[in-house]
Amino acid sequence: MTTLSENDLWLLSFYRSSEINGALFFGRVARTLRGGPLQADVTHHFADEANHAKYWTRCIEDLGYNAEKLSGAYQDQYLEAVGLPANLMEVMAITQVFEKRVIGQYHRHLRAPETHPRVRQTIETIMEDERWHVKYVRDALQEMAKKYGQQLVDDTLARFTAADEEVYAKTLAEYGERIAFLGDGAVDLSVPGPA
Amino acid sequence: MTATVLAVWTRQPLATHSLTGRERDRLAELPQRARREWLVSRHALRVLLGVLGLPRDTTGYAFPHRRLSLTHIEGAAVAAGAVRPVPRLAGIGVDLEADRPVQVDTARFFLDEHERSWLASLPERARPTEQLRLWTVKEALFKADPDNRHTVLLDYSTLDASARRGRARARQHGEPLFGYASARLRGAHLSIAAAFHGETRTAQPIAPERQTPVPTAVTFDEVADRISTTLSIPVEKLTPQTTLRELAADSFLLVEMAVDLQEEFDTIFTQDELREITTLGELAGLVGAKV
Repeated sequence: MTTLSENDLWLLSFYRSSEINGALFFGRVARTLRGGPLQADVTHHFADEANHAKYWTRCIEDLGYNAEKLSGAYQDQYLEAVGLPANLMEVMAITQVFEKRVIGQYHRHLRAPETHPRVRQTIETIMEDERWHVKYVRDALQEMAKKYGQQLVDDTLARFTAADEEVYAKTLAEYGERIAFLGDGAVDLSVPGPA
Repeated sequence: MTATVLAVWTRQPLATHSLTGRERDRLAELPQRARREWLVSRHALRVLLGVLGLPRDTTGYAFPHRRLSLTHIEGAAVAAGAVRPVPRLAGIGVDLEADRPVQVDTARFFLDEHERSWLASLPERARPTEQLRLWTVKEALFKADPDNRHTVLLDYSTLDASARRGRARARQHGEPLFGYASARLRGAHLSIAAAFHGETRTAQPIAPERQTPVPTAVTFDEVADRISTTLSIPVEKLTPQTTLRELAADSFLLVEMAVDLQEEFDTIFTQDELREITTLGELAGLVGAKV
């Protein structure tokens, strides 16, 4: 059995909880879509998120622990900050911003010197999927620009990106101690630019 | 054959912040003095549309209309609408007239010989109010007639002028056939008429069968069916007054419902629009206004 600190266990459980929420969300979106490439991609995305939750559950078990039950997830705070996505384009836009944030967070975790090899392996497995998520969502948004207008898509991404900064800053303020080991203690508010 | 008609009466103007873009444009075109009255009538119509589950943008309706009618007097308005589509229903008409003195000799301009005879048989003090009631009946009949471009009030005849609920016909072409009802409402006469095509002529269906994935009209029932499927709620439990919060306490469920409706009806909602929606009737109205 590996010794995980309370903060380590909390963070891995937080990842798991967020992946579960992602799966529940994309499962619902997948149910609503008509046939076509996006239906297949979102269904794939739904399955990926569920798998990621499984990976984290197994990872935590392999390290000798059980995942903590966490009530909230990062996505809940997104919806609070930006309101409910009103249409499919907004769903994809918020996904784009969120997925980039996830990749940034996992990268940050990989850079932490004390990261356990089992955790590193799990993150690297998940990252392969996350890169595809960003790509298919970016392609979907480009396609949607024909219907919604490029300006509206750009404005929506900008709005959600600003909300992402706010939510991430709040998360760091609330849980900063738990994830301080991921960096030098400075608050990272950098946000990926538009797709 | 009968048509169940719902009427909405109000003295309150529609709040300008709830106007659609096209309604705002229409309001801006009106002279200042006419705006309040227009907003009152739009309020009555908007409420009715919500209850009937029809698209909420009132500028999307032209009259005569197969299912709706609108009337207003100074400071008040009534919107009337058939509760559900009826196969041979050709039009709905409503008229409201506040009590006022009438010129008895004007009856010849809108009452036929039989109607005038009946009126003359009444005690003299009863004649003005009955004449005014018959005026509203004729106005309602005229409004309900989809072919009223070349007709005048005198072209419509009641079968029994004394009846508060009765039948009427168009004198020249015999069709459509009319039913009407009159009532007193807050110091005014209110009459509502429904026109029906004869059996030899079939009216166009009010909600045409969908030939493509994009509907040309969206009813509350269609929206309720979708929501029933998405949220696994018996459709019988869904009414225009059902609030979205009753249906989906979970915000993800609301997103699913909104996206599903947009996918199904091939339309796009904005956050601003959704923020204004609290009931299923309003949601159905939004879907209808968008398609």
